[in-house]
Order: sequence, then C-alpha cells, then structure tokens
Amino acid sequence: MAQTTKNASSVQRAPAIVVALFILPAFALFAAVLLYPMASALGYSLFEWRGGTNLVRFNWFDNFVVLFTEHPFVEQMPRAFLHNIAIFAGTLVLQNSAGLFLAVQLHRLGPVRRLFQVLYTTPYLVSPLVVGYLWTLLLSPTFGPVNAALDALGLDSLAVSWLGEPATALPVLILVSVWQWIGFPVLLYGAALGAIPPELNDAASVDGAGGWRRFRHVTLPLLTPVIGTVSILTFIGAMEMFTLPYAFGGATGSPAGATDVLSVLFFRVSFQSGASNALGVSSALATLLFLFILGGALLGRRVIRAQEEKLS
Amino acid sequence: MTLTLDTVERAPGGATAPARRRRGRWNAQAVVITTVLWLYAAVCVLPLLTMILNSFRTHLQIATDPWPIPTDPTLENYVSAWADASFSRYALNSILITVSSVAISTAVSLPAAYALARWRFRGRDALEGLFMSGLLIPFMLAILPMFYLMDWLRLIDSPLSLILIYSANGIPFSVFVLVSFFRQLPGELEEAAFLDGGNHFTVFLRVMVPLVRPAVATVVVFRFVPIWNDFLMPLVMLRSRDNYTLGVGLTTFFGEYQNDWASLFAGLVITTLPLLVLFILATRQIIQGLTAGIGK
Amino acid sequence: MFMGACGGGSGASANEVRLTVWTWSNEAMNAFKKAGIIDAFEKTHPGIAVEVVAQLDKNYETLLTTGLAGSGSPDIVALRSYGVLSSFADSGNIVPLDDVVKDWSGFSKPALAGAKGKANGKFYAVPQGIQTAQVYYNKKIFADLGLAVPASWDELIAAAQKIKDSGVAPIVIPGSVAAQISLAAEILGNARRGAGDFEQAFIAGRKNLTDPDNVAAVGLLEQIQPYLVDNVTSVTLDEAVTLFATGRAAMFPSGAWQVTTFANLGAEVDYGTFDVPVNAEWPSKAVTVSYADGGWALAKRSAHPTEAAVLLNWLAGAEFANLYANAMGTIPARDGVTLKNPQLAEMYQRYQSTPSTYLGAAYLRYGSPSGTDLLGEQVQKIWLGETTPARAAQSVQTGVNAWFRPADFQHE
Repeated sequence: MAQTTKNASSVQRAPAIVVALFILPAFALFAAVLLYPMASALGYSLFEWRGGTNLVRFNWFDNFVVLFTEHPFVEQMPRAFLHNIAIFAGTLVLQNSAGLFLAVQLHRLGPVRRLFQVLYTTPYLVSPLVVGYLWTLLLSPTFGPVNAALDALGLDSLAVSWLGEPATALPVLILVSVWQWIGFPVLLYGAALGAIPPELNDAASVDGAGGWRRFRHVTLPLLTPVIGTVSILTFIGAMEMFTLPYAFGGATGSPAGATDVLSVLFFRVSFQSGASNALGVSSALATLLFLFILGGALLGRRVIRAQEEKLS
Repeated sequence: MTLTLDTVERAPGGATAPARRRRGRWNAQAVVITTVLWLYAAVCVLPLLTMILNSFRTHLQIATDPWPIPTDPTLENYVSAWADASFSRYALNSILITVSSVAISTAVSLPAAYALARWRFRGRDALEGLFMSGLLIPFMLAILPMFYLMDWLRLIDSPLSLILIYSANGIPFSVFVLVSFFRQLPGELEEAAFLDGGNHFTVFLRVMVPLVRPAVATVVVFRFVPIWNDFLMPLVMLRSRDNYTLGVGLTTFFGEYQNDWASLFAGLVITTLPLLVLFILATRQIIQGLTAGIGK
Repeated sequence: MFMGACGGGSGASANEVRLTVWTWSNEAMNAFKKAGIIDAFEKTHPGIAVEVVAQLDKNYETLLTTGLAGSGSPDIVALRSYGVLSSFADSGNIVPLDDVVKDWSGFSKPALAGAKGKANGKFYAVPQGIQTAQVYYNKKIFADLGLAVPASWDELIAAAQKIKDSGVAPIVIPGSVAAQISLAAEILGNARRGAGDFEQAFIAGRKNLTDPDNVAAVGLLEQIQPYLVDNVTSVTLDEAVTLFATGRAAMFPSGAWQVTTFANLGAEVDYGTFDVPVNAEWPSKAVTVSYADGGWALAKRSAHPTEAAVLLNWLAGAEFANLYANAMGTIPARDGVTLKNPQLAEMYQRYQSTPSTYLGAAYLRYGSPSGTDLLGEQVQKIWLGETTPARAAQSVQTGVNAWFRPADFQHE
C-alpha cells in the first residue's frame, strides 16, 4: 500500500470515540429510515404475496425463477437491460465530454460563469413531472416547434417523428436526460477546477505547456476523483431512470418497446398490474437491479481508487 | 508536484514566438466557444420559456401551438392555480420540509464524510460501501416498508415523516459527493491546524468544512430540488390537505383523461421561481467558496 | 339540523362523522364537489360529512396499497374494475359488500362483472359507471364530402379513402399509448372477432387469441394504416384529442369520456358517433364495445364502517347515479338514470341494445403482463412494419399464458 509520506499518521487517525461521534448521527438516521426499509423491501422478493400486501409463504427463489423462465420477462428483461446500458453509455460519454468541456470553458470565463451555471442548471429545476411532457410538445411532429424550425430551414429530411420511431426514441431520451442533468457535472467539475491550486497551472505555463497539454497532464489527473464520482452517479441514475422514459414511452416503452427500461418494467409488474403476487415478482426484479448496480458501483469505485493511488 | 514537471515537456528555444501565434488562434477559438456557450444556454432556457409563455395561454392554444408568443395573454391560470391548489399554504409546508431535510442531511453527512475520507479505521471501506448502497435501490420499491415504519412511529399525516425520510435519503448522496471532495484536499492543512493547537473537532469545523463549501453548496442544491419537486412521498405519508406541499399541489392539475396544462404551467412557474432564487444564491456561495478557498 | 347542512362541512359539529373518499380521478372529485353530489348526500344524512380526495392517477394503485394498509386509512376508495379490484380484494384490505349494500338489483350485468373478486366471486365494489367505446366522426367533414355514416366496414374504408384524397387525415389513434391503441383495436375489431360468442368461447377455453377471427380483427389495424394520421406512433392522447377537435382528423375511435374532454377543450367541433359497421360475412353484427369503469369499495380499516355503509348504499342508489353520470359524462352502471347530454344518451341507447365486452379490460388485466399492454405494443410493431397480425396475436397469447386461466372466470 502506497502510504503517502506527506500525511502525518496522527492526522489520519482519530480515537474510536471521535470516529463514532463523527459517523454515528448519519449512520443511525440512514440505517433506521433508509437501510432497514430497503432491506425489508429486498426481502419481499423471497415471499409469495396475495393482493399486494398479504403474505402467503416463503417461496425461496421462485419469483426470480419466474423472471428468468417466463414469457415475456425472458424477452423484456434483457431488452430493458440493454436500453439501460445504452442510456448509461450515452450519458456517460456526453456528461463527461460536454460537461467537462463546458465546465473548463466556464472556469476560464471569470465571474460571468455564474450566469451560465444558472442557465445550464435550469432544466434540473423544472419538476420532472413535466420535463418529459415539455419535450413531447417541443418534439411533436404535428404541433412541435422543433420540426417546424427544421422545415423552415429546409432540413425537412431531419424533421422526423422523434419519439415515434424506435431508431430515434432512445437517442432522444439520452439527449434529454443529459440536457436535464448536465448542470450537475458542470457545477461539480467547476468546483473541482476551482480547487486546483493555480500554481500548478502557472508552473506548467512557465514551462511552455500548451492549453491542451496542460489540461491533459495537469488538470485531468486532478479531476479524476470527481470524474469518478460523476460517473458512478451517472451509472446509478441511468440504471434507475424512470420518470423520463415513462413520460416519453408510457408503461410499455413506446414505440414498440424502444424506450422500455428496467424501472418501467418494474412499474408494469408492480401494484397496478392486477397480478396478485405483484409485490413478490416486482421485488425480485428490483433486487436483481440492485445487485447489478451494486456490483457495477463497487467495480467503478475500485477503478477510481486505483487511479487515485496512481496519482498520489 | 514532481509528476507535473516531469510530464510537461519544455518548449525549446524561448516561448515567445509560438505563444503569439497561439494567441491569434485563441481569439478565433474564443469566439467559437462563446457562441457555443450561448447557444447551449438558449437550449437550456427553452423549457423555462415554454413554461412561462404557456402559463399565459389557454389550454386550446397550448395544445394546437405549443411555442409561440401569447397573442392575448391571460392571468386566469395564475388565479385558478393559486386558488384551486391553495399554493400559499403549500409553499409554507414545502419550505419547512425541504429546508429542514436538507439541513439535517447535510449536517450529519459532513462529519461522516470527513471521517470516511480522512481517517483510517477498521471497517471504513465496508461502511462507505453501505452508505453508497443507499443510492442504489429504486425508491419506489421502498415505499411500502417506509410507510409501515412511519405508521409504526405514528407519523402518518405528519410532516415529520417526510423530514425523516428526505434527510435519511439525502445521506448517501451527500456522503458520496463530500467524501470525494474531502479526499481531494491536501493533508498539510490539517497538519498545520493541529500544530496550531486544534483538535479533531475544531480542525474539522474551522479548517476543513470551509474548504469544501462549494461542494456543500452543490449538495444542497442537488438535494433541495428533488425534495422540493417530489409529489409521491407526500401523497403516501400525508392525509390532510393542510399538510400538502407544492409538489402535491401540482398533481391536482393532472386528470384521468385530460390534464389542465394551462393551470399546471402557472403552478409550475410559481413552484420553480423559489428554486431559481435559491440557486442563484447558491452559485454565489460556490464562487465565494472558491475564492476564499485554496488560494492561500 | 336542517340549517347546519348548508355550510358543507365548515360548521362540523362535535359528533359529526367525517368520511374520506379516495378516487384516482380529478374529474370525479370535481363532479362530487361542484355538481352538488356531496351537498345532496349531506343534506339528507345529517351527522355525516364527506370529503372526496383525488390522488394522482398514475400512482393511484401504489398510493392505495399503502393507504389501505395502515392508519389514516380512507373509508371508501374508488377502484378500477376487474383485475386491480380483484387484486385488492385478495389483499383483504377491502371488504365484501354482498351484505353491506342492500339492493344490487338495479345494476347491469356488465357493471357487476367488473366488481367481483376473482377468488370468491363476491362483490367488492359498488359499480361507478360504464365506458362505451365507439368511433367519433366530424360531421362537417363528412357532410362536405357527401359522406354518410358508413353502413359496412368496406364503406368505412371507402369513406376513409375519400377523406384522405381531400387532404384530411381520415383516422386518428393515440398511437404512442399502449392502452389507447388497445382500446382502438377493440372498437374496430370486437365484432370482427365475433363479439359475445367469441367471449364465451374464450373464457370456456375453446378459443384463444390465435383464432383466425381474432387474427383478422387485429388485421383491421393493419388495413387502416394508410388512413391513419402521419407519425401515428408518436401521437399522444392530448394530440389525438386536439387533432380531432380542430378538424385535422375526421374519425377518432375512443371512449365515451371524450364527450367531456372535447367540451373542456373549448374547440367547437360538430361531431357524431357510430359503432364500427360490419361486413356481411363477419361473425357478428355491429356491437357497442363497453367495460365497467370502476367502483366504490369499503376499506377494512375505515374508522367509521357504519357511516361508510350508509354512504355506500347511497352511492348504489338512483339519485347518486343520476347526479354522477350527468356530472362526469359517463354511461350509468344502473337503471333509472336519464342522461341529459344527447351524445351520451345516444351511446347509452346503443349500449343497452347491443353491448359487447372489451375483452382485454375484462379478462386480460388480472396479471402481469397485461394483455392490453402487450396488444398495444404489438400493434405499434405492425405499424412500424416489424410484425404481422398473426404473429402479434400469437405474441399476446403467449404473454398472457403466464397467468391467464379461463377456469378462473367461470363462477357466474
């Protein structure tokens, strides 16, 4: 283990009682109000239920078996899963490239950057209940201004049925989601850029390093932890995304399942399904999702740790 | 430090000539970049503008032509939104619930994140992983057990149930973000503070927390917004209309077959404005935090 | 005691019981409040006050699951008919009403069919209303082109061609919403499938959805594809309503609720309705597609079961049915109702003479996946050129095979 010599060990350690005092308030609240209910919710997946909340019996992994053996889960689950992965890949690339680009450019701007930061974050402030609806209005091939503008510019061929074609519906979903969330990486990267001591860049400039090179070799390595944080949160957000796909594609991932994701599938099989054992099967689905995200997040954290160690 | 100097190649033979050429290109580049920044800003305010414009129009106008200038603007929607949904009452509840939840979750997350980021102790990684797992579960799944828990605590129809849930729900995110910021800080600062006679508590409060103020502001904003806009948890936990929040108020415009978009947009403008104000204040905090920060 | 009632709840006396009623429908809540339904009840039942609360439609079942499971339970809840109602009956959080409600004789058979728990055949709800589903047509467009209401399916297609040639979209369907597509498919295809005869064969297990008649019924969706509005798979319910109400689409297969929606939208469209006409060789004559549209159930944890029973009996009576059906613009679930709106009155009349059950709503929503969701998705695939009617019908059948057992529906 690469113990950095700069950090005195007295600073890195604290008496157990102090550690407890620092951590306990958060942990107690977290464990009682969040962890405990969530653990019991995961436990629901091991039981058979009747009419939502009536426990019938412990049925081991039967609910999971249903998901892996019965039509339509055998087709719908992998399909939804792939869509989640595509959303993750798309948002990851866009947030970390466009988000980082915007943050770096804003950082150079000086005080005007505040205006831009506010503007870029406005999409996040609007209730998610209506963000999807707003874009449905804007992108409507019949009434929407986006296609009207494209027509006016003579770009008729680009004026497609954005949310009505399987080929465009998912990319649009990804773009709108990035649009909605980009304020977060912009702000977070902005804060991290501000925390980089200017001497580092000055030193590099004096040595004649150009803009890109300075960014690549000075700035980027120092941003690694924050990029990691954003990436993991992006992963979680993409895997659990519900409101936007539901607004665009309804309960079935319209058109023809092109925007179906795991949370929408969960919604379909949970309480409104009319199925008596809805709680068992939907909990099993959520448990699988949880385990997958947990694995992904832990893996992601390990990668980031490795990067951080390399840097220190 | 050494890493930086090693990897950056020295420009041979004086930096003046290439620098000038670079500056000329830089101007053209700056124009392009500024244009891009403004264009993207325009794309971002589009929804806000759509919302505001439509809040002055009738349902039929919105449906047939969603994005023009209002021809004969009406304030009718605001009148009905304010009256039908008792927004004044809901606004007070929203402020109470959101402010206390964010305050509590940030207050408890800061020391926890600090301890996880800066100290070595047994079980640290496991604990951090446990906190992180709180981010991973679809919230919809936990609704039923949370309801049972609050029912057991006799908190159904009490705003306290929401404050507890939102504070707890904010912890994983806040800890996760704050840990990465605390970890980024150089260790010399703590050392110096200890040499000046500080203890763990004073070093944390007086030295370390001010340094992560921009991150705290970011966490506050990004926790504040979803709580402010949430409608599902209040509907699950609350019973009397007097306790409803703005987010729930908005749902009164959603019908079974038809949504009252005109009033909804007016309601949205009313609920989003406070967020915008908060956010402008918070970004000032972020800037101040930055300038007051590491620049020693 | 007569005077106290005027305040509508504000002057609640110490021993007044307050009942809470939940519904998923804002429209229903408004009907209760603004059309004087609550006043009518409170006036004749001093000592009982009623509060109607509309919960968010999209999350209604989730909210009910928690709402009925603990303290602060509402007293009476509206439940969607068939599967959802049956599933809540299984939970034991609503109680059978066979003995609570005194008189069931006024209700129509289709309305009662949607109020039964599948497990024991008992009534768990007082039926709220019926939805009929039919084709709305723009009278002006039809008149301008010299078109009469079509008398056969072939005439309908011919009319659609003529409308298309004139530059107007002949038919609009909210093609981005699975449930709406499924409803439209039912309006068009119910008679082609064989209506009531097919329904009987279906629940007897003698026929399933891969039957040639059902495949032909699904095939009608493919047949009308050239006459649908452009980009039909992106059309939302709001857009469909707007397109029809502003005369940009000439026909719109949809539910009776649209009568109220068109009125609320404020567009002045002169429209009429018809049931889909049949060709001579089809297995059934023209029918009115209909389904039970919700009912009132009694919560097990109601703090005032006696008073709630009083209210339920009133909700089951003709006075309420008249007020509610007229305020909501719905087809009544029981007799003794006069509909004032001429459009609705016409639908009601047709329904009384030739009703036919919406198969998907009545039988295919008791499990996951829901048959109507599957059909909606499959029809989109037909329109997108990804599947055929035969494969679509097969796919829906395979999906519902996961849980559908004809025997479950045979305790009539």
